[in-house]
Amino acid sequence: MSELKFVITGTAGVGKSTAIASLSDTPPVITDADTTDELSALKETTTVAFDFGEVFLDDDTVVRIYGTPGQERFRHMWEIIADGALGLVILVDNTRPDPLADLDIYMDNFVDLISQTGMVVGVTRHDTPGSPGIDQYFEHLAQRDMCCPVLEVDPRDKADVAMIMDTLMSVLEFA
Amino acid sequence: MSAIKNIKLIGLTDNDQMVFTSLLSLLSFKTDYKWKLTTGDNDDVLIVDVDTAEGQTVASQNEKVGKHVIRFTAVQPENNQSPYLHKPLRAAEILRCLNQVSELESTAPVVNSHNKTKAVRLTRWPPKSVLISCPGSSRLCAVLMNHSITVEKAASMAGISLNDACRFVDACTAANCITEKSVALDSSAQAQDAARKNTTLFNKLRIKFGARA
Repeated sequence: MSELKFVITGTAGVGKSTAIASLSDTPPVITDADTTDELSALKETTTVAFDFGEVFLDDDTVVRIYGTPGQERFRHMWEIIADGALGLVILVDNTRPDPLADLDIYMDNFVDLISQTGMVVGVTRHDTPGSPGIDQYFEHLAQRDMCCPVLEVDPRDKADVAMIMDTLMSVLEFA
Repeated sequence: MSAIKNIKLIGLTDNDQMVFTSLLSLLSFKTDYKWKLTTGDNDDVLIVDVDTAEGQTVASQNEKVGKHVIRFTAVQPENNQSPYLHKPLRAAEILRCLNQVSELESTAPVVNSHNKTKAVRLTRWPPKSVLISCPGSSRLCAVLMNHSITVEKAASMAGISLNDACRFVDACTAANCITEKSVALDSSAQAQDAARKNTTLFNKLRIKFGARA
């Protein structure tokens, strides 16, 4: 059976596990542990290895969707997870102090995957007052000489997650 | 009878679909266009059973984005301006409707205001409200993201109808996320067209992920 692999990354609590759960044909594998740092104010558990969901395309092909641990201290896992992936979704939490800097962290760490395949940026909680607008994301990407889709997304909404994946497929197919 | 138009059936029973297919085949020599049935998103005309709430919603949504919709109904609609098809299906009714659509097409203002020699390119990814107005918009956006290319060529590459592509580009222009230039066409985009091999796989993935066509 052949395997296709996609990766969803982003800061802790942005909704990676939720997005994978909405896509997966099987109950996703979750490697959560209790939060022990400042994140405990936001959520009780966090991903420490990876989240993993499966989509069965046909009898011969399975799509595996991996969610990275969000916290930077688990970044050693990111490279392992990215190996052999066909595309990347970066979810950015627009309520964080500097979401554009967060985006930079993930783009820097997945630079090889992005250059070899393609990426889509999903901005969650995009209408947070005082947070960057979508235009600022495009400007920020342009400063890095990058052009890629940036979409407002609510990972709890299956249609939004489907749109993100549809966009990633289009980027990989045509761009 | 040169141009080919694609017609899509939505909400019709299996029996009605079978009858329509047979009658369309019989009528082919009498219609202005050569009509072909499609199940994809390259439709030029939709025939929608509007005797359900869902059908009415589908018809209204598609009319809002400028699609030709023929309402298939057991009751005569109050608004006779839009083409409608009476139940049960009869050859004469189908012929009347298809010719009515042909007339609308020939008298409609030209949607495509984009000069065929001018290339367009996205300056940013369009907002969600623009994207959801056109099925297949993400494919069109991906084509237009990195290449200056004519709308006609982009529509062909993305596998959507030229009318839909033109409407989408107009919406993108209104949202200020597209530029139009008189430039030499990007040959790499043309080369990509020939090199595109994995369409079936990507379409399978899209369907599996639950995306709109």
